[in-house]
Amino acid sequence: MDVIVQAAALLADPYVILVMVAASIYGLAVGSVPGLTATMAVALIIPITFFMDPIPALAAVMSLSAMAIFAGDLPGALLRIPGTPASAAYANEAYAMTRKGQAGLALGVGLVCSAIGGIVGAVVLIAAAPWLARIALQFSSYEKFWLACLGLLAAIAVSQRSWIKGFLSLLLGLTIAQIGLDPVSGLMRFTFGFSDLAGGLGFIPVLIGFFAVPELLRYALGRSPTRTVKSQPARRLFSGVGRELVRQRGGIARGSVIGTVIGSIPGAGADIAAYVSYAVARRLSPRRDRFGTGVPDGIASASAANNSSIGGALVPATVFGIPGDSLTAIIIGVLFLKGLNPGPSVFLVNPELITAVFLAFLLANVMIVPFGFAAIAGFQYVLRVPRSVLMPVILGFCMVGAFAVENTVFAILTMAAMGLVAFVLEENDYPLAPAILGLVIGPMLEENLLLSLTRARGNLFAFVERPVSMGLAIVVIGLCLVPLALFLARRLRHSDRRP
Amino acid sequence: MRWLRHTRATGIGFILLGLVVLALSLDLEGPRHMAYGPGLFPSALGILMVLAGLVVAFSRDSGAPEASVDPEPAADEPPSDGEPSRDRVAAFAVFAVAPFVFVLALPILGFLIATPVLIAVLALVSGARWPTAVATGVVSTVLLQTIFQQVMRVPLPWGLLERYAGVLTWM
Repeated sequence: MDVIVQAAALLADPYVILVMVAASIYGLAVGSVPGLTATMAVALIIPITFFMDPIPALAAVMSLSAMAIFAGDLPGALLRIPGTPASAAYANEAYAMTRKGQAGLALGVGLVCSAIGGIVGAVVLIAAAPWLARIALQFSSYEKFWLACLGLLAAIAVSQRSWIKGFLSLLLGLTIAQIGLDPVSGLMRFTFGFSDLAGGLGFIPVLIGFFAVPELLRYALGRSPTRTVKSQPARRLFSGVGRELVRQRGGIARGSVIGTVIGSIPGAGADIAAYVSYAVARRLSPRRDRFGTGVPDGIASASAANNSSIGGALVPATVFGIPGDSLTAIIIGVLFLKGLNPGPSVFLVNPELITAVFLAFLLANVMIVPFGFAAIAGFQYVLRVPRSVLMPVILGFCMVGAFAVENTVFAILTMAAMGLVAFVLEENDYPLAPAILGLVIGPMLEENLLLSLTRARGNLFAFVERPVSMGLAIVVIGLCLVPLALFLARRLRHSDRRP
Repeated sequence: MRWLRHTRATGIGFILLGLVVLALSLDLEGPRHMAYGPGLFPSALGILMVLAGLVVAFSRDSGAPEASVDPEPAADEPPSDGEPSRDRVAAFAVFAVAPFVFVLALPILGFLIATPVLIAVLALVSGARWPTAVATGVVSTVLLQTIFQQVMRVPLPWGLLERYAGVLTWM
């Protein structure tokens, strides 16, 4: 308890609070711009934090991470261009609500749930970091393989109309992930001798291409749904949010737990947490038939998971120095930079400093609510800009954003080519979210599959020998078989009723 | 653009892609000491893609999907009935080609010349008037340059303006 009091005293410095406010505004601004991500925002502020003391520097990074991740929901909900990969899980749902004139409700629910999820993640981080990290560290390649399978199943489950098209979209994403260096043997694959392909296709250009370019092309054809977005007066912007939050309390709690647990597993970050949480919400919701048409159920659960996963990811990151995702990898870099070398010893040598970092993350998630409401109200003005002006500017942002991340014009080509592919796929009712998840999980799935096969020397029973891997395998196989069994049972019942 | 909406064609496209992935994967040879080489996982993907592509290509409802007609067209834009007008097709072509043109123009003209021209052209084909289109191009270029080059230190190409780079860097 003394450590927490000392840590709180470190944060109570007006300079630290001022830095957190400035970093929050920066995080909201960068995160809300299509094509700019929380990871990019953190990476770009590191040169500035280099000149700061450890506490304000790390407090700034924590604040802007939390804000930028929430801000990724804004373009996702209002323009159907998710600002972060995790926002892609529920961007369609939020956008469908925006089209119904419920943008305020969608964003308000997402905002408060992000804050609740973030606070839950932070509390778990402070209270149970070593314990949770011990569980996550026990995961071997077998458990990680099954976890990746679970993520892939979630990708197919979020397919709205046709599971086979969702499956093909997933395979496309997995295939794109094969381009470049093989994670196990280190050999080049599908590069055709082009050095630009050696590192694989850039994730951010592909993400922008998949989610932004088709929208712009549909606008050009005069078929863009963005034209029908209904603006709402500011005073009615968040009406119904409180009632909806009470109704979604179970989903918020579930999403927070899923996010914290999945986030604490190295390699499984906010993206998987958001997708799994959305898929679970869809399965358990009484309004599951209306998912995809604009219901807040999926948004509440997935956005809570999105932010709580950062707290979870910080557990192995700080206790053992294992990053959960790219964002926590950068945060580990900042910890090293500031002399707080991640590892069990940091809790012995500098307990008040590391606890102050955790408290800064908690405070940032509390600050999300007022800052986020202001950002939502301000972002509504984007809708008032004529589309003939806004859409060319967005394409400009997308092209420069893709270039900025990779520092090469090849990233713009990647974005454009993927955009055209995505446009054709969407014209034929293929969902795009599975492709993105396949792209994210592909390397993890392949690496753990090959490692497991090598360790087991081809013995497939080794995949289910350990208790946790067996538990995960039962969940994965069950999730595959139960819908099939229900489908067959329905068909049998249907055929029995026929004369 | 009804010709783009044909599920069977996409199924055949996936079959072909799957076959290409499979053929390339079978050519991949891993190190001798590794039992499972770099071709194992992608070849499995190729096989699955061919099988799933066959299901899509030869299922009963693999024709054109239902046209998505916008239920509420904006007042300032013509209602769409599924088939766009010639102007709209032209605008679509400009938006689709713009990134490729930008890639070609960026190293030669530089960011500060290529971007305003491109954005202004896009605004014009979108229906904006000349002054609005030019203002959009110029203002958005200054904004992009300030955010990315001046603040975030992204090295955007100077092109023809290389010799004025010092004057044009103000932060």
